[in-house]
Amino acid sequence: MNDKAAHTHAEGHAHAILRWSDDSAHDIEETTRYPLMTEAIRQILVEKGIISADAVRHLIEQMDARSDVTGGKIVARAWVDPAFKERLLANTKEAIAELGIPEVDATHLIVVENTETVHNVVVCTLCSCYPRMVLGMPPEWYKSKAYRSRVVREPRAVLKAFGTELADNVTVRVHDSNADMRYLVLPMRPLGTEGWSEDALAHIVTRDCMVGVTVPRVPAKAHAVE
Amino acid sequence: MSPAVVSPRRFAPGDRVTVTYTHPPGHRRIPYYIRGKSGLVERYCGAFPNPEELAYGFDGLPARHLYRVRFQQTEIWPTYDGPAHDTLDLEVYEHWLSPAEEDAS
Amino acid sequence: MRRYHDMGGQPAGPIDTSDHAMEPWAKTLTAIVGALRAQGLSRVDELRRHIEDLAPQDYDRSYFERWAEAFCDLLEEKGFTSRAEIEARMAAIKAEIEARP
Repeated sequence: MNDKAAHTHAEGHAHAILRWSDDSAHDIEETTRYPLMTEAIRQILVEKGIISADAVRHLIEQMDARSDVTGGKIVARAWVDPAFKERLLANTKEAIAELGIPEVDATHLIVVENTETVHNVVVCTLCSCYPRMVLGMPPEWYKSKAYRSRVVREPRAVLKAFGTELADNVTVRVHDSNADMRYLVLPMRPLGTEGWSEDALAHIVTRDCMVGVTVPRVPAKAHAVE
Repeated sequence: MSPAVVSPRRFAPGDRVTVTYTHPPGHRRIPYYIRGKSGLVERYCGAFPNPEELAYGFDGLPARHLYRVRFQQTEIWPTYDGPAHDTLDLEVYEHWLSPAEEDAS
Repeated sequence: MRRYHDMGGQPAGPIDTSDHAMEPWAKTLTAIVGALRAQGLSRVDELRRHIEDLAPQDYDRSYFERWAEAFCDLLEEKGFTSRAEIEARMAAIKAEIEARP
């Protein structure tokens, strides 16, 4: 589908203003700096043939399709299938491929397991690297100066801010994903979930517990969903 | 992972290593807080084009060996307020590492 | 010397743990950056370097605003466009939007 160029005249000059072909969902209304800047860059790069409008649209759709649901499926499978869990920890790339999840962005996923004696938490202090292929887009707090600065220095205080307190005998292990590795925390399966289906288990695996700032909780009136 | 890796690996899991204490300009993926600190190699991560060169349009080859190194928090932060067994893991490229016994004064 | 972006261990205030939806322009920007990368015309490392090289006042902007400013620098460095061309187009788009009934 080709974008239509609409001609408009402003101040005596003719402009070809490249529109999104569906002319609706991506149309901007805001005239503040950054929406304008983004659209200006998009138009210029597409007009010059440097990128295609379809490529941009496709990547937006891909972003919309990716979420922590993927991560939740991985965790739930690891909880019900101990052999899968071992494969996941030993060679994450191959194990997630079993679930039809491709590695993208040339980054490499490492799954780190929470145990009775180890609790993992992930950060990227230098920028905001994040395992997007399994968790979708990172939350604002993950990218914030406060989180990036503090979690390496005082992880227990930061975890407490998220409502997570760990006993002194538990090792808190911070992972600063400063290079090509990306981390997914495999939380411990909570008590009270015996006999639950994989779907039900995946439901209680939140993004925050796969980053490591919280742990999965069994809702008060939970029941196993078959 | 990249081809054209010419060097054998210098380090293996369990080796005690020290991060070079230097502060060169430009794009570096080794945080300030870890420079000069010592830890244990936890695993070998693979060989990758050097991001310090990729950032400037070079191809970053030959690929550099990348290791995950585990540090004790109490060795990073003198006033760390937590148990001595808390750790921090991050990735360090081989050219930023030296064997811990070779700590220069 | 420690550079501004290299903030691990620095003192900081409380963390706002609330969630916010991603703004549409930020999503589009991410897609544009990704499209350029998919063409082999830029590397993530280059964008990171431009973000790190932002003036301190720009580094204090929000995450995606930093991306946008750094991306303009990257595009200009590569000769794909210029700040002047981007600013001119921004003005034209703004005029078009404001001219709508």
